[in-house]
Amino acid sequence: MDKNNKIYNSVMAILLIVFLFGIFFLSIITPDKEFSESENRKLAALPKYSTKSLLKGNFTSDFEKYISDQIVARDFWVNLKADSEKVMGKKDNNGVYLGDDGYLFQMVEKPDKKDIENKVNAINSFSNKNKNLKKYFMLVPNSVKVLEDKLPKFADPPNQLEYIGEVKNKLDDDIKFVDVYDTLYKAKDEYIFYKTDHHWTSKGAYYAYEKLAEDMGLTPHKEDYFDIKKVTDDFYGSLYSKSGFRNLSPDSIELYTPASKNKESWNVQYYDKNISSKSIYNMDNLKKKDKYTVFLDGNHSLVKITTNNNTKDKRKIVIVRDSFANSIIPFLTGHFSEIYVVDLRYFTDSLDELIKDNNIDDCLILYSANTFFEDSSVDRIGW
Amino acid sequence: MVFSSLIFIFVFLPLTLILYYISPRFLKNAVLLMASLVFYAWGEPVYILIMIFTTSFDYVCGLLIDKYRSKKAANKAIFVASVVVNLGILCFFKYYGFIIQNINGILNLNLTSPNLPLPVGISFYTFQTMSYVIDVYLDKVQVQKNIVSFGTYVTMFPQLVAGPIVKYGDIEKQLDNRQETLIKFGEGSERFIIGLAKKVLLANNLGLLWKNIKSTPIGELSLISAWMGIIGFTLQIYFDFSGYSDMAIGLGKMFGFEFMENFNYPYISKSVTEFWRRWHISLGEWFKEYVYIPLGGNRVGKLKQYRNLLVVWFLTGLWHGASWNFILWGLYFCLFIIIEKAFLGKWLKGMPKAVGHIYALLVVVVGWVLFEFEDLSACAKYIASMFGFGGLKLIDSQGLYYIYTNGALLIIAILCATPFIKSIFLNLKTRIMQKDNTRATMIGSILVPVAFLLLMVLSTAYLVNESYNPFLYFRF
Repeated sequence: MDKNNKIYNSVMAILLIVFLFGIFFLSIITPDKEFSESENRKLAALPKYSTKSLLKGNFTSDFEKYISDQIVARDFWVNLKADSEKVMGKKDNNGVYLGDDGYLFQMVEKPDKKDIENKVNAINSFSNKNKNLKKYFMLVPNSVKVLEDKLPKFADPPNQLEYIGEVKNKLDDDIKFVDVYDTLYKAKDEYIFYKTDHHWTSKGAYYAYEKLAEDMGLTPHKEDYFDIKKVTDDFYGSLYSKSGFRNLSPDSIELYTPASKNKESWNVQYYDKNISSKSIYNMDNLKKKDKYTVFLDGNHSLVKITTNNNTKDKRKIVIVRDSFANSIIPFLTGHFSEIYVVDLRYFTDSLDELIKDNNIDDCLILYSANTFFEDSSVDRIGW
Repeated sequence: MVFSSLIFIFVFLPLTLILYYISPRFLKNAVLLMASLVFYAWGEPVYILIMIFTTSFDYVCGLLIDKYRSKKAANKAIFVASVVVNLGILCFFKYYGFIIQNINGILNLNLTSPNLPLPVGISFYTFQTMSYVIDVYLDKVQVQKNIVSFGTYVTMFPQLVAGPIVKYGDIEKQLDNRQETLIKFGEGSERFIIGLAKKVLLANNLGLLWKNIKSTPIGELSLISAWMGIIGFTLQIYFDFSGYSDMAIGLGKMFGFEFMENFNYPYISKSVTEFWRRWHISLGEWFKEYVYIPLGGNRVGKLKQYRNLLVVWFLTGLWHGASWNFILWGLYFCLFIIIEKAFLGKWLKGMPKAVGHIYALLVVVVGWVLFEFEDLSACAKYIASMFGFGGLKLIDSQGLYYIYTNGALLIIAILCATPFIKSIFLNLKTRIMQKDNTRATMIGSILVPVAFLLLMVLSTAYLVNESYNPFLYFRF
């Protein structure tokens, strides 16, 4: 018995020692990594020592971050944790649900009714100041609602339709509310939302475009008006990074470009960076982690797209939006002569003046429900 | 520094072990002391001075008390001074704000108190240094003339931050006379891995469940969710605290020390009295030895005994935190213990075991609500919803979702909170070891460690994940 006890404890001791020292030495030997693809951030480097930072506690906490970031086989450990959580039945992490078929869904908070009222009031008063503008408002329900069949069992997030309905009711009558829920819901078995990102796909945006065109009194272009090209099938989006879930299939991105026979061409001006481009797509961004920024280069305060195709009325439109609009703009270029794209988080000038100075005819306010309820910049629409 | 961190496990511990084992015997305590100071200073670069002060001060007091043993008056004066200074420091850093708050409330004043962060471990090391001075004064232990040895006793990193509270008498001989063996090291490794797994795999994840439920507005919580939440916390605090004690005991063994057990499956208790003999044992022992027994313990009349219990439980509650809910928590248990002493204990013994189990668990679980909510009205609301008041639903989809996604975790946790797993494991171990067939022994001796390796690997994975910090383009 004693001898066996000795063997057992010796094995235990050796086990711990080998494990501790193994990781210790391996971490020292392997070179430091600079960037984490999956987390989309720089990994910590060895902190500089100073007595001041030691006394303040900065040096020690920075050193700990360094050890954590540079431990050997970091991705292996992260993946192992994600896998063991799946085994344990965990269906959400970091505010993201893991649904069926590899779909990730952003968990949403219950919107505050007072906040909704304030935002709608801001929109209504903006509308009042611009009576000659034809106004449209699209509030896109997120995948957490449209694809709710895919949510994990018993998951019960707040019902976005309820709050979208509130917005619709409080909106002034001269703003046309474009309801895309039914359109999207009908197509829910198609690839209309990304699985690993919180945006909708180009196809999803296309269906919404059809409904929007109908509400605007335009004839939507059919899909054969466009060349549809898959430009990547290796897209791991925002929800993948946020959730930490692993072993999921990536998404693919399709770009709709008007067929050359339709002779569309554009001039795109990015006001904040003082750059212009001939394309609404920035193909270089496909090499980056956030491939969704291929659409209109992500977010800028003001972008002006001048088209030079022959539209009958040569109407001009301003789109006040979040990043969901970037996928739908490719469909609108065929209907307008000028498109002004505004991001209220960065746009500090007066929207009223922009409209007046450029004789803009139409205004489309387009937000995904989640951003609309959580972001405070919508209040700035009237400034 | 904390045990459950990558820097402790993969940098500090390997380095300390190397230094310790290459040092000759006479330097080993010094190495341990130095390492412990680094361990403490790592998180508290300034507050370490308080600990160094308390240690040096009580070392000197010990020497003086011993020197003036014949001079009763001087002797007593030094002893009293030491206790006053120790308690004074503890009170100042831990209770000053609370005291001022209450003075303001009673006398309607508006005194301000500086918002001092609490020095880590002060409740633990103060109780340890006081235990030394008291025992030297009462001539129960030899004075420790070697400041390195004494410093090692106070600051030893295995038990510095979260106990077990080690009385000087229990460790006196081990300071200068202990043996590190491979067997002890193996036992320590086993214990450490168990403790780490308890903390990282069980406690932290149960904590997530409790955090979600605790932050749900009380009107939206179903009855079952309320129970799930507090049961989650009940298990979390057990695995967190006992896991930490396991790691402390395990680390102690790696350096040749044997510490007392601090937890003994408290949730299988059949009475509240029994619970407090199985939960945070070292604290109970400290209060018994230095407060309860000096007051007369249970050798005085019934009324005086109840008074003694009240004092001990008031202090026990207060020790846990500078807020009224903690004091009430202590008094809450005092009430049940007195009732059990009066008649309930005897009655329970005559009942089937299940009655005692359910009664004890109910009292303890409701007690944890009191422990967790500093705001007493929120506490009352939570308890009310547990028992069906407040017109809440029995179960809602949120509750079902919690069961669905945390069910496996809760079942495993409940199993691990009982001796069930341990008895299976020990059973297996003895059967393997009794076999004369050395090959079976070899295989068994490899399979079990492999299971421990798996625990170690998983714990590491979860620890690495704590630093997972994606940069999100979320608003875009």
